[in-house]
Amino acid sequence: MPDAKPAMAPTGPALPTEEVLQRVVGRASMAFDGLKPLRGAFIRASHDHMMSTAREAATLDEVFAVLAMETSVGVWPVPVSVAEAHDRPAYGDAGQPCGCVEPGCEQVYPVQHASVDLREASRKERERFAGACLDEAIKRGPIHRTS
Amino acid sequence: MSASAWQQRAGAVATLAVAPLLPARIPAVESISWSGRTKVVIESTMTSSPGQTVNVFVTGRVEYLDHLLARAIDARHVAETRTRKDTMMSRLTAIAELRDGWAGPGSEAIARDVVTALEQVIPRVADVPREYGARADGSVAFEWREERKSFTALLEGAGPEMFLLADEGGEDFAEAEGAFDLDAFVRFVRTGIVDA
Repeated sequence: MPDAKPAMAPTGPALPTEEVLQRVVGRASMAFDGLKPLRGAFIRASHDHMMSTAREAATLDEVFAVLAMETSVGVWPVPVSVAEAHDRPAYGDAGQPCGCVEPGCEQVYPVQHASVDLREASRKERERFAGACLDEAIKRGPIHRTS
Repeated sequence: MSASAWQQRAGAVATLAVAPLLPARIPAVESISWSGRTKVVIESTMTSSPGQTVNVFVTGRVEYLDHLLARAIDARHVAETRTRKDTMMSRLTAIAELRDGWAGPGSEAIARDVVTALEQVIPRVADVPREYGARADGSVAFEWREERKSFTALLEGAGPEMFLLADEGGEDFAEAEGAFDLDAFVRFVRTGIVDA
């Protein structure tokens, strides 16, 4: 069996503060009116405890190649500065191994992938970060609407 | 006044009363029917997001015709309630169909126990302005904000487990977590108060 991965290691180089990442939001994470996301759209995945996004330079096709989602309704901004304000680093980790600690996981992040590291965040901290992301997303508006 | 005159007057008043009061997406009153000589039932439909149809019923008695306007206002409340419940149930259907990976790499489907719990919760909270959605970690959460205070009522996993948070920032927050308790969960969603 492969050795366990080192916990909490960065999954890639830290991203610049001024970069604005792209987060695909599914219909099930939008407000009922379909016009804006819920806070829950900015929650980490359970597998690696990171929030998957695409780099700012990714085209719409690339974003959806990174974050394939059947029910997506839009792409919303996640500024690296918001993550930093909550002490959550953001990594450009395309082509890098998944940030989980599960032995044997061989997943590799796709092209243009970036992660916000929420592995050490408590529930309350995750909610606060998601709330800050939502506020910023609403202030800036969607990068793309897909339906 | 004859029955037909009552009916005519009731229909006219009801149409005038209902049409401007109910949301714009509700078309004109579609039918007016009578039960006996004294009860009038006005039926219409509305479209709720996303694409769901809800029946709207206004019930009045001809002897209370002067109060039909109030009845119409009540009907608006009923319509909104039914719409929200309908929307909540529609979302639940969609959530139950999510599969692993639905929100990108590593995201999880919603556990069956969470869906079952929501089936119990929704009928008891559909009359309060709450929204809920699925999350990439396989949880489902009601979330709302009142001024500077944010609220989260979350369900996840087998059981399911619940997490409640009323958060005003800094050290000003209250939270609770544990096995799903229907009454405590509903009470929090309705009031935002975390039981001690």
